[in-house]
Amino acid sequence: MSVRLQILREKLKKEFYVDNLYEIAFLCRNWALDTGIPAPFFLLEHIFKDMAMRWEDVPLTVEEAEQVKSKMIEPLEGLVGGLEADVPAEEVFGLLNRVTSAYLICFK
Amino acid sequence: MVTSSFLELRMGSEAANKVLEIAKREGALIYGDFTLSSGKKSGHYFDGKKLTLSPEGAYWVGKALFEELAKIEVDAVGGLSIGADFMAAAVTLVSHLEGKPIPSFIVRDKPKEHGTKRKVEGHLKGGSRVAIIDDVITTGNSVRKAIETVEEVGCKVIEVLVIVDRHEGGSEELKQKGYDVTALIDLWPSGKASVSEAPDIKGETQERVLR
Repeated sequence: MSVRLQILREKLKKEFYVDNLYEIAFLCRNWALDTGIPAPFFLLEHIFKDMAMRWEDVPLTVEEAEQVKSKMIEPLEGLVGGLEADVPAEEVFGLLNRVTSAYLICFK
Repeated sequence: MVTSSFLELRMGSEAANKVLEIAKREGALIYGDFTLSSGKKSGHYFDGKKLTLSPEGAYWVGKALFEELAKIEVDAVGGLSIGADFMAAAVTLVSHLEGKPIPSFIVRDKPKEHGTKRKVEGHLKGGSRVAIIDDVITTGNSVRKAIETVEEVGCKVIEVLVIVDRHEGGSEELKQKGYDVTALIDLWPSGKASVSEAPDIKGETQERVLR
């Protein structure tokens, strides 16, 4: 698990652009299929895939990409940190809600 | 802030010149600070759908592509969805009007997850001579996916035809691999756009147009 989370951290450090988002979604899909706690990766797969699809084939300004990342990075890193620390399920649920809320605010 | 900007009309076919003129009018070529799919930054963006989904744009794109395809013998024309969808429809329609019908096909970026699980829709027979089309070539990923798909079923790619070549390495790489790549419009990293001087000179860039 820790290796996967480290990979995810590295991907999240990069800018948000379509190819990177699809790559994160693809990794999360595979990890969700290969873990006892698939929900976080399943949610992340859908969030990143949805974002990539929204931004594919449209003129994405640098400003918009940066704004979305700035709103999402903190809850995403919080989730990764929580998973790394193996926090209880109730806490993971709260972290997932934070990521989801941040995403929904960005893409109302 | 995104603004439309200058375009230069140079030598080229009447149809290609019309395409550039319409692209300008329809706001298909915009200037600003963009993050491309590959993560590269760019001061300009070509929105092919703004062009190919306009009535006049669809017609002239179809005509310009047909003029190129008429110079070579192909059994079908197509490319990766969604960039190539409307182009394929346009060129097929024009080919019928011109009395030299060329069937078209589209390649799904991902195969259907349910039902037929087909990767190619439309008219593509194994062993055909085909032209691959796309609205814009940057890194060449979309074109490569389409090429791989048609070659998997034994088709031979005779030509790659794009509306805009951004000259970001994609067309150059394909040419190195032996594919003929023709663009109607050259869009240079500086942001300058021009009709390709001689789109029938395959395998050569036309940077001299801007000199």
